[in-house]
Order: sequence, then structure tokens, then C-alpha cells
Amino acid sequence: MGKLTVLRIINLALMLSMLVGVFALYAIKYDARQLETRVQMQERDLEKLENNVAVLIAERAHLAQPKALEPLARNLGLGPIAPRQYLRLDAPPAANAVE
Amino acid sequence: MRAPIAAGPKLPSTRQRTLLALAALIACFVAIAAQLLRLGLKAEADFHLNIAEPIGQSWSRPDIVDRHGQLLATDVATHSLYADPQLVLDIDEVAEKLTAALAGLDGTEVRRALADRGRRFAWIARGLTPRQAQRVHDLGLPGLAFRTELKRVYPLGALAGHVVGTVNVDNKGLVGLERWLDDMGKVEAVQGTDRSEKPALRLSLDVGVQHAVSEELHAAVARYSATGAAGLVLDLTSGEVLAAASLPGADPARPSDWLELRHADKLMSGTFELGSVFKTLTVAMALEAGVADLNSLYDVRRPLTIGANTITDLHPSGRPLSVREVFLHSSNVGAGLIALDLGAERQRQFLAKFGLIEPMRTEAGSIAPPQLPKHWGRIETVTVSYGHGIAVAPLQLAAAMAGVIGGIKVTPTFLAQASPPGTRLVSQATSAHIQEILRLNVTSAVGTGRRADAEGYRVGGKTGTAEMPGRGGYQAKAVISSFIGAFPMDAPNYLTLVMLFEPEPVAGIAPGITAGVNAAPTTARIVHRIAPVLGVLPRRIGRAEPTDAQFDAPSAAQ
Repeated sequence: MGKLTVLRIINLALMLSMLVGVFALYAIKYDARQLETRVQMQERDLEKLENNVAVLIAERAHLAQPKALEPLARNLGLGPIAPRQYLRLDAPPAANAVE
Repeated sequence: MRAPIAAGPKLPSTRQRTLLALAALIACFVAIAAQLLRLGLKAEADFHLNIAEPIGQSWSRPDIVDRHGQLLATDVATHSLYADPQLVLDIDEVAEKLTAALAGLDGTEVRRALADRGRRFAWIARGLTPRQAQRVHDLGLPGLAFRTELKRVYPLGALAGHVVGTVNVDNKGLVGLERWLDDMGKVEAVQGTDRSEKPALRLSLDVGVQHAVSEELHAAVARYSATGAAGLVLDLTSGEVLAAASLPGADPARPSDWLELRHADKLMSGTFELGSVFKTLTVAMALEAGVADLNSLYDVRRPLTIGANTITDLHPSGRPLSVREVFLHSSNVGAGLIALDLGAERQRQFLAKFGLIEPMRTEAGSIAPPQLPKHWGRIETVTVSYGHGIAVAPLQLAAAMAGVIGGIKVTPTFLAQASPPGTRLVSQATSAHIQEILRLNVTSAVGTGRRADAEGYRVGGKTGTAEMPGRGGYQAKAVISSFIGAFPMDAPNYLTLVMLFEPEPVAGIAPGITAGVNAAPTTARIVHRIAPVLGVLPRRIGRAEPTDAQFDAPSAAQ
């Protein structure tokens, strides 16, 4: 086998490896792009969920505001704590009697 | 004969040329392989693409919460509709369909925005709800598109609206604490809907207390047919404002409220002559300067005449009154005489010490500067002693009163924070005397603040009824009635201020328009609601809950 043949084989091998390299790179790039899209989609979902959470928190604050709760509480017969509702634990029962 | 060919350099053989070409090829392959290896190993590209997008920029803002974490303002993502006028086919069709789909959209505005075909971007409507956005989307009109952006929302509506303030359409703070957030650099410019990661701004306000004050003021406005009202609850030790309400209120969702005078914040952006509540300061000055004590007598039997002016009392006393009685009877003549003993210069110095001469600022913005007499002569000294001829913002007066009641200078703040202890304003003895007469004004049979007594919570305070200036002088029937008080008076923790604008008499419950029959009982109602929330224990337990009739009874405290 002459020197030239050896060189031709090397040349061929290199060409083949380059082709394999090109395909491998393409495959990796394709995967990377897929992953990137997935990451982007998940980031978008996350942002959407975060915004939904923000909206829900705001809605909860809106629904639980005193202006909304007061009529409901009054309906149930509740009201501000009256002095008669305080009892002294260290005092005899007579001291806690309603005048 | 042919000339011999000159011997040139020796040419390489075919074999050598082949080797050379192969070597070059190998070098290329090696370079490609190296590049492949580099790309394979390197994680990211070494260039970035920056796209400048000046349109649609918004601001992300930290949340605003009350002292217990209750949400007052937050950012949510909303859909904003814009158009590319070049892609819009039929302007009239778009304008008609959009105005039908979005209530409140101005068709002429839409036409105007779309008319300029040279533009590629024009806002149509911002801050749409998902449902509105879907409706527009369903129209399927070409040239329209959405962008999501942040919008400030206020879950509690107009509650504490004046304090919280509002933002513009780009989410930038305009007034109140929203403006303060911008000034402090706590907002960030964003594209899209990146919410702020900064910690929430914690206010000193207590939503429960704020609501109670606001509700009672609404009720008082209805009960006494008043044109407006204002209320304040201030922590006497820390200066924290627990509630600040002004009616008619301002809704942060409607920035136009801030442009209407009747919606102006009465606590901070207006100055008023607040009348007799100033007598508290006059007595404090006299006690502190040593010109009188609570038992010093003043002859108030005759009107006080200074030059062409005559000062009279509503109900002249037939005998000389002590300083204590001058305060309880709310005698203008008595207050004037005390102030004359003190002198104009010392009166001015004391007012400056109490912080009533210099303009004041809070986080929610500047407070309207005090309006002082141009010439501070004898007559001005007398009128200032009972709160006329001097107009201050109610919050500024409340801070001065807090200083006199507690003895320590109080700086009002809207942020939940432990402020450093202030300097001493008046001696402990003076503040104890002031506390005594304030309480006496509520418990005594002759006190003007009798109806302010909230069962068990030891309220003390001073009434003030000031005629409102109008065309051609003061109007006798249009008054500002106010009550500045504190509770529990045995160890004052909280200051309350109630103001009613132009209250009217109400048959059966309020025979007149003086503060004693409207602002005082409103204070009692407020204290009755907020004291349990603030953890103030009633002194005498086991009493029945007071009724409306008791609040309005003339002898409630007797």
C-alpha cells in the first residue's frame, strides 16, 4: 500500500467524520431548540400562573374587605366587642355581672 | 539557432503537489473539527440581540399593604389593545365594532388614532379584562393586536384612597404614597408583565380602623346632612397614622377625583380655621410659660374689646372663670385674656415649637402650608388663642395636639415604622394638666364634649365650631365642627380627630350645629368601634352595649 493510498483513506475518514459531526451538531442544535421552546413555554405558563395568583390575591383582598364582610357579620348578629363581653378571670363572679 | 533556455527554479513534482493539497485539506478538516468541538462544548452563543422597544413600556410597582399585611394596591397583568393603522382596512368598521364591544370607548378617539396611516402603532384601549379582550379578539378585525401589560389595582376601592394615591395609565405614581414609591426609586421600568420583586410597602394604616372611621363618617354625613367630613386616628407615641379618611373620598381607580376640589383631601391639602380646639394649645402655652395655672381666675363677665373689635362669648358667664372653667365653657374672652397675658411673641414661639408655623411633609405628599396672620398684634393674638385668624391643615394641628397631650413631639407618618422618640415639647406636669382638662371636658356636666364619652374607654377632648369664611365675612350657619380627642385618657395612646363640614341641626338628636352635638358623638361612636380593635380594654367591664339613643343623649356622661 502506497503512501498515497494511506492519505486517501485518511482523507475519506476525515470527510466521513465531518459528515457525522455535521449531523451530530444538527441533532444537538435541534434538541436545543426544542428544549428552548419548552423552557419558553414553561416560563410563559409560569408567568401566566404568577399573574393568576396575583389576580386571585387581589380578588381575595377585594372579597374579604371590611366593607363586604361587615353586612354579612351584622346579619349573623355580630358587632364590635361591647364592654359587657370582657370578663376578668381574676375577679369574683359578681364583678363581671352586667349592671 | 535557438537561444538556450535559461535554467529557472525547479518545479515540484506531481507527488509533491498532491501532498501539499492533501496537507491543506487536512488543515481544513482539523479546523472544522476544532470548530465542531468548540460549538459542542460551549454552552451559549457569545452574542446577544438587544431589541429596543420604546412603545408599551410600563412600570412595575411593589404591593402596598396595611400594617397587618392586608392588600391595598397590587399589579396585575391586563390586556391592552393597540392597532397598526397601516393594516386596518376599514376605519369606520373597526371604530363601530370596537365601540359596540367595549363600553366606554370613544368612537371619535378611535377614528382619530387610526386616521394617521403613517403610524405603525396606536393605543386603542388599555387595561382590558380577559373577557373584554376575548370579545375584541372574536371580532377578528385585521390590524388589531394585544399586548399584556401591568395595571395597578386597588382591591379595597376608595378606602384610604387619599393616602394611597393613584397612578397614570403607564403605572407611574401621580399622587399620595404611589408618588412616593416613584420618588424613592422603588418602581422599575418593565416590558411586558414582570411583576416587581421588591418587598411590599407596609403602611401604618389599619384597614379595620380605617373602615370603622370611614363608615362612621359616612353615617355622620348622612345623619347631620353635612357636605363633607374628615377623620384621623394617630398613635400618640409613634406618630403612626392608623386611619385617615376624608369625605367625599377619592377612588384610586378614578384619577380624575384628584382634579375635583370637592374630593380634595381635607386632612392634608386644605387649611381651615379650626376654632376652639386651639384653646387646648393656649392653655398649654400658659401653663408651660408659667403665666397661669388651672386655678388662675380671669374676668370674662364683659366682652373683650381691642381697638374696633369686640370679642364675646356665646353664653357669657356671670362670674370670673378659672383657666379650667375657661376651657370647659370654651370661653373666647377667657382664651383671649390668657393669650394677652402670654403676649404675641411667646404665642408665636410656642406655635412654632408645636410645629404650626412651618410647612409640614409626610410620605403621602406635602401638607398645605399654614396660613398665619400677616401682622401679629394684640387682636391677632386674641383670635389665634381660640383658633381664628390662623388656618392650618387638620393633620398638622393633630400632630401639635398629640405633642401637647403626650408632651413629646410627634411626627405623623403613614409607614409602619418605629420612629425615634421625639424631643420634649411641654413638661410632664403640663401634659398631665392638659390630659386632666380634656377628660374633664367630657365627664363634667358643663363640658362641651360630654357626648364624646364612649362607655368605658375614657375619652377626653376638645370641641371646636368655626364659622366658614364666605362672601362678605363669616357665615353663621355654615360651620366646621371638630373634635380632637384622645383615649384612654388615664394613659393616652391614641388621638382621634373628627371634622364635619356644614352640619345641620337634627330634630331630637342634634339641637344645634356646634361640635358638641355632632362631632363629639361621632367620636364616641368611632372609639366604641375601634378601641376593641386596638386592644384598649374598657375600664368598667360588664356594662351593656350603648345604643344610638345613649350616644346622642345630652347627658350621656353625667
